[in-house]
Amino acid sequence: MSTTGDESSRGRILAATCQVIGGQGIASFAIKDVAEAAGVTPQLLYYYFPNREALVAAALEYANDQAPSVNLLPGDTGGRGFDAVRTALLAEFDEAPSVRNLNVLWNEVATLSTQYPELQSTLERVTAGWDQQITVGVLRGIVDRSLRGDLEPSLMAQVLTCAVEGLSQRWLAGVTSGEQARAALELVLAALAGPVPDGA
Amino acid sequence: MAGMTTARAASKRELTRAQILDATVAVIAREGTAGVRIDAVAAAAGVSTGLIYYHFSSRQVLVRAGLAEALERYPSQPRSPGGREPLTHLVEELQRHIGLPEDDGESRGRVRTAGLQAAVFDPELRPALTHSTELWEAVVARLVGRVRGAKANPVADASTAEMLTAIGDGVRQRVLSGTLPRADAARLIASIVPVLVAGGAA
Repeated sequence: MSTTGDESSRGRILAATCQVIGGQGIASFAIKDVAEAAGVTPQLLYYYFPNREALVAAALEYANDQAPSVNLLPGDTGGRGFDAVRTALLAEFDEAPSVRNLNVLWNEVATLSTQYPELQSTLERVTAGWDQQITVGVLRGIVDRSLRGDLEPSLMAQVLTCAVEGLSQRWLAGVTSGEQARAALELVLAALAGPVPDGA
Repeated sequence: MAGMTTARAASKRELTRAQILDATVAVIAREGTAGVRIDAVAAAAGVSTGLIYYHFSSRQVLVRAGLAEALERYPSQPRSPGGREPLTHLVEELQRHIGLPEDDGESRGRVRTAGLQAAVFDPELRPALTHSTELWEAVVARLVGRVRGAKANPVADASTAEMLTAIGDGVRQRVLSGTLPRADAARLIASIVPVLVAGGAA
């Protein structure tokens, strides 16, 4: 463990936090399980993160940095704005455990954040950042006419991210399949696609 | 009050169980599942903690039963249109489910959020959650059909209802977590409903 360096220990701890919370939720996860999954001692974990709240807040930042819809968009500069936004958002409904765990962590924090001020400020920051990323994609789509020009870009972005969050809750809760969630999101996207419908 | 006659006729055992469940539902609506503690529920129901364990073998069993009951009661019946335009009626019915304080929407929102969250790790809750979701979507689909009038189509209306209620779930989570101001949430619903209702019918 000492040979891998500070940054990678920290990264392993955060990846392990997503994995452990993804498997059992925030309420009952144990620090020692995270340390074990990360291959570090609890002492080292506490060195980086003095308490559960600090650990979960950092894990949310980490989850946000890893999220497909945050990462795919800036790299996808070739095609139309609509397609870039669509690809990035649909990628959230991925059955791969790593993506699913990120979604579980995000939802758990959103449910519990009001009880923990530090989590709330982190959640506000990552949510605003995500909305902004999608707004940039939406603006591209408006410029290249692949998205409607008659609606506020920030409204379109927020509707899309809220749709992803709502569908993600349903998907993780097992009331909607990933396929059904993607189909519902496609319908929202289709309603926002350009050019503006006649008479609108 | 409608339940009283049934409750009186029921055995004492069933009455106690119902009291415990009522108290659990009330705690979940007020504080979410994190607030469900055996001693608090016992005090609220006016029974001993031992009696709670007699009816519900563990806290997890109590939370599950309370959530299933709360989801069953999750009011999905729309209010009467009362002279409102169909579109206004649809918008306002969706706004009732995004965690705003009016009409006790925060409590309803906490119940649905708690149900969605708990079902991630407790598959036994999924039937109650699915049933509750289907009822809500059916109500919204009918309202969408009224807005569309002659263009109404049961299949398209149901798809639109799924979109609208899913967006409602996402918006509600942001309202209850404090990341979306309530006025912005209400405005978001009012702005997007006409767009999605018009888009899905084409």
